[in-house]
Amino acid sequence: MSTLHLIFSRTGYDACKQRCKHDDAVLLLQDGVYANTAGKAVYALESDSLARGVHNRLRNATFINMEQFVELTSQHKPVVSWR
Amino acid sequence: MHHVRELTMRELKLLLLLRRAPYDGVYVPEALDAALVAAAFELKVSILLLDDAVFGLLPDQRADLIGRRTVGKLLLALPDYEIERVYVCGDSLSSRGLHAGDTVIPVQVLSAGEQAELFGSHDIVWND
Amino acid sequence: MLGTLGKTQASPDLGSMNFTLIVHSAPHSGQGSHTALDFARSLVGGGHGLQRVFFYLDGAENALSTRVFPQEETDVLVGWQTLAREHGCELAVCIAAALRRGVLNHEEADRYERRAANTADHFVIVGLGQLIDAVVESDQCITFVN
Repeated sequence: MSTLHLIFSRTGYDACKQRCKHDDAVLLLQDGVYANTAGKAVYALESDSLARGVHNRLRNATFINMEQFVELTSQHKPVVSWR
Repeated sequence: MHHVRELTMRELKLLLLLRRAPYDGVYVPEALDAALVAAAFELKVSILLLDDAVFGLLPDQRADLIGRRTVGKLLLALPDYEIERVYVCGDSLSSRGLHAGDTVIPVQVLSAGEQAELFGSHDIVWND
Repeated sequence: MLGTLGKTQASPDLGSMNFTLIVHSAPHSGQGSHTALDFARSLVGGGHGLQRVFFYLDGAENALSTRVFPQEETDVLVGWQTLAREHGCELAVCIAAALRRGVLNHEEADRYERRAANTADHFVIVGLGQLIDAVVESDQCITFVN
């Protein structure tokens, strides 16, 4: 199984992005939705994106809800959290 | 529901990811405590230090002077718990003017790509 | 690379998994506890197993019974307690993390001669061994941070 990286902040994204394999999945949540992903394909938690008004600013993000977040965690191992 | 322990003898591989400076609160010693308990329960435990956590590798730390546990000393005790695999991010070291040879314990220096592989080879990753 | 995710209506059954959740985030100083609670609700709602939520580091502060939430802020304490009551998952708080943050049950309040016990109902004070037990017996472990 490939790794799922959970990005909780912009600094978390900066730390994670070099430490990702090509087939790893990345999910932006909480303040991670502020990250500048420079068009890299990522998942983003929809509620956190809408809450922060960044929904229209995240390019190439696939927005997911909490049920889909759960599903994502059943498809990857390990899950790495980035504060 | 079967108990995992009855079914398999798999040893869970646990990686402790440390990113905080050693004296940023007490988070690093707390996180290390959890890793030590995991090792005592015979999980295979490794540690990866990156960002400011690499300052925990400086020799000559005396945190008793500020009323805290000394992280360098905690790292020195890791082999007592059979935690032998301590990895450090090469970029984090060099950007802070540190060298692997100067560290309080022997460490294995990894590139970013190698760290990505390291995550993939573990079952569980914990944080500070 | 993005894998395939089911849409919000019934997904194919991937089989239920057992999860351990670790919460490092205190209610007021980060969002992690709220996210973890919402995640936990979706987890059990989707038929997955959740035996134990482990509150560690600042997450131990979730167990404070004396917290009063303002109206516009989600009462995650009630949320966690409701989840525990309705689904039987254990809300486990690490004793070392709890003590240093002033979260004490009656036993610890007596032991350390503190004036009050303030651990909320449904939260249990445990040792780190319970965290290890939980991860050994589950399929996936996720940590919620600030």
